[in-house]
Amino acid sequence: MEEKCSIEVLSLHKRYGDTKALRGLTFSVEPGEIYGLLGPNGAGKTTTLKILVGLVRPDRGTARICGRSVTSQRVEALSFVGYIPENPICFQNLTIREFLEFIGSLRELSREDVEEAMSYYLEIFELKEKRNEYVSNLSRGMIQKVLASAAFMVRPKVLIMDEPMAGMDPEAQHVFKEEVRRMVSRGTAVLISSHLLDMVEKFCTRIGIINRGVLIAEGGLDDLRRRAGEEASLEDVFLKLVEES
Amino acid sequence: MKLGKSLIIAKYLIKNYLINPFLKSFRKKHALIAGILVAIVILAAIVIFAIFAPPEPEGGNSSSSASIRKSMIALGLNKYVIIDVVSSALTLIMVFEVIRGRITISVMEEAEYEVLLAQPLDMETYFLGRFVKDTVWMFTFTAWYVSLIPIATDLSKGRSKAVLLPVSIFLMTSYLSALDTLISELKIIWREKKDYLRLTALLYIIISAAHSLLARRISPLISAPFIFLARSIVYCATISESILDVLLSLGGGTFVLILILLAEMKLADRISPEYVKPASILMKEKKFKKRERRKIYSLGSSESVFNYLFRWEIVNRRHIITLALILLATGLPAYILRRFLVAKLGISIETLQFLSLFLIPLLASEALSFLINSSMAKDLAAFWIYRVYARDLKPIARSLMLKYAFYLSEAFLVISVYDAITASPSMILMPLIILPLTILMAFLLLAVVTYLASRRRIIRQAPVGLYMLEELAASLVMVIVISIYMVSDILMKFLLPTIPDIELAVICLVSLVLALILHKILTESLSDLMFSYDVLS
Repeated sequence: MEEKCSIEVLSLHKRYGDTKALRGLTFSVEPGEIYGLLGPNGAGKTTTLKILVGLVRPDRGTARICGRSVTSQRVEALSFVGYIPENPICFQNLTIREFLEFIGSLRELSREDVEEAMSYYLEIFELKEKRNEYVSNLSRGMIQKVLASAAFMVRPKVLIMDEPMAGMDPEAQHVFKEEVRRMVSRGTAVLISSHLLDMVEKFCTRIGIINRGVLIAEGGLDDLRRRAGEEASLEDVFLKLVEES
Repeated sequence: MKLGKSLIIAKYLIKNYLINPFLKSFRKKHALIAGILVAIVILAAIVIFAIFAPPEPEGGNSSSSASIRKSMIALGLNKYVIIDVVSSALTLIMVFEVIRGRITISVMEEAEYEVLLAQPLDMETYFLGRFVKDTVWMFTFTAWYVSLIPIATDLSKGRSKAVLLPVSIFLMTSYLSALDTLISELKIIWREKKDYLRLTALLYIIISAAHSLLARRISPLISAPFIFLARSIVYCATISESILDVLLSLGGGTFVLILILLAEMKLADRISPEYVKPASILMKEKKFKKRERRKIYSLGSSESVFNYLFRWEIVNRRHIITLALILLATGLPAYILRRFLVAKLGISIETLQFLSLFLIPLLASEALSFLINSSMAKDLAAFWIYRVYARDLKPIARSLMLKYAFYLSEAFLVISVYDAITASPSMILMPLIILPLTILMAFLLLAVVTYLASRRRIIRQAPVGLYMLEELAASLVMVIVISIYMVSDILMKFLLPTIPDIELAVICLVSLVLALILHKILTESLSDLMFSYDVLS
């Protein structure tokens, strides 16, 4: 039977000089769940995500992917992860095809698997005609689609995404969400950080709100609404909780 | 460590940084292939010519090699002194790296950190891939040193060992790069004890200096780390050493390089990806650190641009203190050498004066690589703001020209301080006298790199550093700048001491006026170039 994977964040602390980015953050994302991480600018969302993909080392606390610590078992933990960074960052002088082949070979996918996945994702994201185009010639939204293709291509058990739909056109956003839902139905655990409250409201199954490096609220949309009034939107809930904290 | 993955990393990084930037620049691939073939044929012809050129009779002296030899002997320089000076200078550069600098491993593109290191790779695999990429990168650059083979052949009186010169230079650059990475790793691992590390480096310099004074020659303590490399380069151009001597030195250098690499790989897994930082992030951090309460805003847009591009960078306490320290660090040893040690060490005063010629490439390349890698990437990255908000590009061109001329003049001021102490006090006026040339150099640098960068979206998007083609162009400009400054320095040393004070004052005034006129004319040209390259293209 295939291993089901979760994300566990336990009492994470991180400091940059005098700034405390994380102050004991704890939450978990179960398999088949889309967890939306919300918070104002500087709340510690990106730091959390970077810790989870092994790019930043926490000062204290534990972060685990599929039960593997991202600090002591980094390589093993990351082999389960597909990651989309915050900004449209990609190798400027590689073509889309070369970039996806690069990621495929690092993940030890067979040539056929890479070709198949490339053909599928470039088709659904309407990038097939541009497969030999250099990344530097692509728009922000197109780079996001390439990064999403790379993250999906590796068949991750855990998807970690920082503002993944920024710059994408509505059609691509729809395709993106459908694809994520398809993966979630197969048991993938998804952690998504975004400022698009409408999207989070409709897309995520559970939401965590962080401010100044700690979790101030967590639960389903209905649970959170109860804290701000039955008719409240996620925006109202978010503003109320952040103000109170 | 997975060797296969290291090679995959190397392959795609080479494509990204080296091959594809060239392919992108040549719309017609056959033009690129033809260009590469022509370059290979030229380089091969040079090598064949050097190998099969008829050897010169033992007693014979070709005019160029004889004159070079003669002037070096007149300056008290022999191969042993040159080996000692070169190896010590390289050691000092590395020790300086330990003392100063950030605790990071820098990369050119953010993707190398944010995308590549988020993949399941151990750091050892990444570092090996990175080393292979760097080696190929350096090989591409050092291949051009094949053009030095005829000079080495001439100096060694037709010995075929001269063809090993590019290999020796390649080994030296690989060695420097590997050692630099190892130093960065050590600084990261011992970041909590960085002051001890710096103190150790400082002690090493003091002990080596003391030993040099006692032994009345450069201490092996300071020359040893690079002695094999210096020998392998110098022996390519000597008469008495055989090809075996060059090969033995190369072998020694390669052996130490392998040891450095093994140490680098051994330590790699103790480095968190957190310390791998893209150049753009480093620039941002530097800017944040420097942020003081400084006023940019002015009602006049030209003044605001001037404040941001020039005043912020040049007229600030940090910059002035750094310049003062560099001047002191050059002037004080020069004074001590001149006043107290020339006689004791048995060095002729001419040799002391000749050393400034070594300082020129060092300082000019430092100043230019700072301008190109840091200041220029930052200035050009913000170009879109100027394009959108500035009414015209003239104030930007004016401030940039002034800033780059200022940086180059500062590098030259350091040399002139050294020359003023060791040769003649009037040499202090040298930066002012050659100011028109400096303005020309600043224009050339800005025009070339702005043109190339405008084709690469560096101006249009976030800074990602410079690629192969920009580096090559900048290196060419660097060669021109260094050559012009060296010729100027030699000429001034002969001319300035003979010119009376009043005439000297007139020359300075004429230079200043000429520099101002040139600055005005070239500002117009640069702003036109910037407009047509970037806005109209």
